[in-house]
Amino acid sequence: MPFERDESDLVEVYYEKGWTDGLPVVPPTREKVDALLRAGGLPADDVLGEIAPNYGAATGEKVAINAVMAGCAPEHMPLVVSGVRIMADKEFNLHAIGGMTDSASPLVIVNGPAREAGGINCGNGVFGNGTRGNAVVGRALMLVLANIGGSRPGGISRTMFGSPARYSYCIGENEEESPWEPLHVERGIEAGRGAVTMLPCESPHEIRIEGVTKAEEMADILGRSMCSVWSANKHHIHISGVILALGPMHAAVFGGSGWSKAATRNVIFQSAIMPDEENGSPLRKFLSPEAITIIVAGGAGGIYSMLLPGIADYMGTNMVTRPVEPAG
Amino acid sequence: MPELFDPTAKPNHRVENLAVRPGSLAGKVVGLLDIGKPKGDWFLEAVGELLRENYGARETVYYRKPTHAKPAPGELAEEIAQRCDAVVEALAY
Repeated sequence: MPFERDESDLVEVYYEKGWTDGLPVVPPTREKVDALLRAGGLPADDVLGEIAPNYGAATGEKVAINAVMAGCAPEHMPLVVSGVRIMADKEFNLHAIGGMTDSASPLVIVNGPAREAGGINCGNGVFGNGTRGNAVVGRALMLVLANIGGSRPGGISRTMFGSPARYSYCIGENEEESPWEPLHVERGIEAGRGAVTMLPCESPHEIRIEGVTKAEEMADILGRSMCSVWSANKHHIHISGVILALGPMHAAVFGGSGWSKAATRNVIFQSAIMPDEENGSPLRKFLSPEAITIIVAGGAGGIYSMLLPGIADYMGTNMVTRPVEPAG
Repeated sequence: MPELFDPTAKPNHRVENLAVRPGSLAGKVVGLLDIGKPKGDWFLEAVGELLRENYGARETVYYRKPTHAKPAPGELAEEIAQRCDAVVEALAY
């Protein structure tokens, strides 16, 4: 039974209009939309880009409306703006997520001072519920994809399964517990700047490794565990990449042994071997070590890392990083 | 009724008129555009054979998009338009 119709109940009105992701939205007001425009440093009619698959114009006003609906406050807006610019970038190829049958969702990784400024969790529960910044930034971008890009499941989006990550998929890197330089620095942004990096990824998959203290053994188990990505089938070696989010305890094993990030990645790459389906000969899962991106995320106390399988490289989709301009 | 803020944007679609149909393929050059999914080449090769043997196509020319997840590059569409009288764009599996 629906509620009795009440036009002043805006949460229900936005549902009726088909403008939500299935969860209730914050009804926008002129004051809130203007506050987010100011925070994002955006004129209302400034076009940030066109959002696939319908290539609707992402004006400041439309982005701010979706961000308010998602639950954003002014401090979240700089992250949303960087994310929208990435989604409109041809290198990122949002078209592949917006209309295809797969389930990948645009993962947002926040680095540098933008994490604290945007209230982004990097530690316990990083992929999950409980933190406003992570919940609303990823959600705002998915609302932009649906409302400005026109990608709705069962409509233009032909995703077979969707994904829980299609509500929101936003994390911070736990730079403080990483033995290595953070992702944005590896990708050419100055260390003192905030940045957003995005890649369409499937839902995170937990890898459990307990009681291993040698870096060689840790890398070997990680590499072999990664052979299940997509399918243990040679067809799938052509993969744009995976992101390996090492838990702090696993990262510390490599850090304690003095392994660089590049050396760690190389041994993981060499351990990711699977049998050729036709003749059983050993076959590499990945085309190069660069197909594996390593970050550190999550809290203390657990024996886990997370594997985030990227969308296929033949989709023409690439990881894209942009700096974040502090809130205006 | 409080003010509503529409979060949606208009699709940026152009409506194009269909090209004039050739009527018959006899003596025509037909492009076969593989969208880039596995076995598209295999399927289109069979289609091309049928078009040549049963419908009198003079020649079939195979093309492939770099990826099925993006529109065909403009130069590719232009090349097909210049060389072919008709084109078959196939979706594989």
